[in-house]
Amino acid sequence: MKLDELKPDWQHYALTTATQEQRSLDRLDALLPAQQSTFNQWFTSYSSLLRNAAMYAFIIIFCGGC
Amino acid sequence: MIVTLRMANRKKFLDQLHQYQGLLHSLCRSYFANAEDREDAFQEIVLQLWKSYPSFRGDSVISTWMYRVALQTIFNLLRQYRFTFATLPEQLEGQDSKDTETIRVALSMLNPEDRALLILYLEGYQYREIADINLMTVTNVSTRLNRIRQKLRALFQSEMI
Repeated sequence: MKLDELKPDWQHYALTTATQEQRSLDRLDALLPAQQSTFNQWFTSYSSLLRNAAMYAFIIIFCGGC
Repeated sequence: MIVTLRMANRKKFLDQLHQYQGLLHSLCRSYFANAEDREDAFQEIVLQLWKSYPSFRGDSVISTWMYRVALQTIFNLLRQYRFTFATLPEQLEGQDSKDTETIRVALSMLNPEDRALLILYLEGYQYREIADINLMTVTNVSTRLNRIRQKLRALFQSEMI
């Protein structure tokens, strides 16, 4: 038996599956994470930096006189 | 400007996913035993494709890249015990079982890695491309496909007797 003899069977199996399971663009879009606003993305990227800056500012203000 | 670019990128990705989604569905049906697992796997593959889309630079054909990401995701999911590997891939809905009996039995003889090699071969990929997708050497692909060939030959010859 040659592997190529399985090609028509596989193509039938794959094509029928693809046709039965085909999804619209909207349904595919729903699987992706929601789009964030530019500010949200910026805030997410820099949130740890902002948190550290706030912590150092707090330390400097309250321990400045020590 | 950035938002517009991001939206254009998302639309381009969705158009390509829409065009090539069939390969993901046929992989999911070949690997997972029930509809729930197939749905979860499909969603996970789409998510992984989306995450790695920025690193896709067009060095390979988009379908080749999609196969690589999809198969890696499937192998990762199969390592989690909540996903059930389809030893015998499911029959197509509303079809006579004889229509796809041969291919389903052939796939049922193979472990997940060898199953991927056979599927890619049947999809018409060259040994070099199969090696790239599976991160193997061409020699390794050739050796394993020969073993698969022998295994299936023995199976179908014994069935004919």
